[in-house]
Amino acid sequence: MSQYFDLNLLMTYHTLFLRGLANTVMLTAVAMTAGLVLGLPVGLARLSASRLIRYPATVFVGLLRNTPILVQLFFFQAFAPLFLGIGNNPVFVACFAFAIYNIAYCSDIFRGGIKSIEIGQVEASRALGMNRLQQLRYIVVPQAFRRMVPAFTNRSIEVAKLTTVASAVAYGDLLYYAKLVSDIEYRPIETYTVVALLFIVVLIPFSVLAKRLERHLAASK
Amino acid sequence: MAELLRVENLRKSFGAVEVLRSIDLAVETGETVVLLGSSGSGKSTLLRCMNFLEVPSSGRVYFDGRSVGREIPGPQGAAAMVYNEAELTRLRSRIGMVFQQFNLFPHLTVARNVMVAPMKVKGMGKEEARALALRMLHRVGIAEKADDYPSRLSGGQQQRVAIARSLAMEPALMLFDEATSALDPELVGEVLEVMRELSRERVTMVIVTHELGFAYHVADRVLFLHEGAIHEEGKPGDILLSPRRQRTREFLRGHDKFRLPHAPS
Repeated sequence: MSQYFDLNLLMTYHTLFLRGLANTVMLTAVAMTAGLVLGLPVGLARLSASRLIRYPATVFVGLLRNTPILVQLFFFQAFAPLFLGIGNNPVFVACFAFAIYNIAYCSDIFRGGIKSIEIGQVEASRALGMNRLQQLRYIVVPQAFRRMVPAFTNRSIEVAKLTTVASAVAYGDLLYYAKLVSDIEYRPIETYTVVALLFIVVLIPFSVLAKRLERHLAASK
Repeated sequence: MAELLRVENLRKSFGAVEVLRSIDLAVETGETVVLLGSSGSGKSTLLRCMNFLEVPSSGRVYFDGRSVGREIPGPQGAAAMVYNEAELTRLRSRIGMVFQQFNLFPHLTVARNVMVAPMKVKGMGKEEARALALRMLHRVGIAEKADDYPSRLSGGQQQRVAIARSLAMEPALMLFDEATSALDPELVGEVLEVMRELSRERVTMVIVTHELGFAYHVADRVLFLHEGAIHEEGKPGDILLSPRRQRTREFLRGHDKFRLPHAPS
C-alpha cells in the first residue's frame, strides 16, 4: 500500500471504531424510538380541535424544528447541570437532545400521515360505534403507518448521519473516536474514509430492508 | 308497531346555509322508509343527523323511547341540547350505516372488516366474532370472499360487505346513504336485492336512494324532501304514481328523462 493511503494502519484501532459505531447506532435508536413512541401523541395534539392542546404542541415543534441541533446540544449541555442536577453527562445530553428533536420531526410525519386518511374511514368507524381512541388505534393509525414507512426510513437515515454532531458535546460516537484516531496518527484521509464506509455499510442494508418492508405492507392492501 | 325513532323540529345549518328546516318524522320498528329528493334537498344530512354523524343545530331526536342528549336552558328561555360523546358513541353502535363510497377498511380482510366492531366495541371473542362474520357474509351472499382484501372485490361486492359489517353489530336501525349511487349499473341489482331481503326480514331501515323502482316495490313509506323540508309523504304508490304537489311531479318527471324508451313493438 502507498504510504499516503494505508488503511491497515488503522486496524489497531478497530475496537475504537466499533465502539463509536455502536454508540452511533444506539443514539439513532434512542432518537427513533422516542420519535415513534412520543411523536404520535404530539402529532395528534397538533390535530386536536382544542386550542389548549394544539397550541403548546405547535410551539414545541416550532421551537425544535427552527433551531440548529448543535445549538440545542450546547443548550442542554449547560441546562442539565443547572436545572436537572445532572453533572456533565454527554450520553444524557445527546440522548435527550436528539430524542426531543426527533419527536418534533416525527410528530409532523404522524400528523401528515393521519391527515391523509380519507374522512370516510373515520366516519365508517364512528358509525360502527367506535370511540375516538378505537378509531385511531384500529382504523386510522394502522393505515396511516403504512403510508409513513418511507418517511420514517428517510428520517432514520437522516438522524443516523446527524448524530455525528453529538461528538461536539463529547458523546463517543463514530466521529468522536475517528477524530481521536486521526489526531493520534495524523491520518485524516484514511480515518474519515473508514467513517464514511462504516456509515454506508450500515445504512445501505437498512434502506434495502426498509424497502422490503414497504413492499410487504403494500402487498397486504 | 312500536316507534323506534322520532325526530322533532330538527334543524341543521352549516354556517349561514340552512340545510334542514324543521323536520318532523317518526320511524316504526320493522318499517322501510325511503327518502327521495333532488341533490341538495337535505336528505343525506337528515340521515346523518339520525346517527349523529352530524349534530343537529336544534330540535330533538328520540331513539327507542329515549331522548338523545340533554336539554339545558339557553339564553332568553330558548333551550339548547347538549350531547355527550360517549352517549352518541353508544347510540351509533345500535344504528348501522351504509355509505355511498362503501368505506371498507382496506388494511383488513373482508372477515376482519366485519369482525372489528363486534370485537372492539362489544368485546366479543375472536372465534365468536369470526363465526358471526361468516354468518353475516353468508347473509349477503359473499362468504367465499371472507379472507380476501377489499381491493380484490367489485363495487357491488364491497357494498354487500359493508352491509354485513353493519349488520354484525345487530343494529336496531339501518341507514343507507345512496348505497348504490357509486356502483356501475350492472352491479346495482345485487345490492338492491340484499336490501330488499332485509326489508322482507323486517329490518328497520331508512334509505336515501335515487332508485325509484326500488322505492316503489320495497318502501312502506316514501318521504319527498325539498329545500330542507318534508314536502310530501305517503305510500310509495301514491307518491310515485300520483303525487299531489308540483315539486314532487317535477322531480319524478326529471327522473323519467333518464329511462330507456320502450322498445318499438
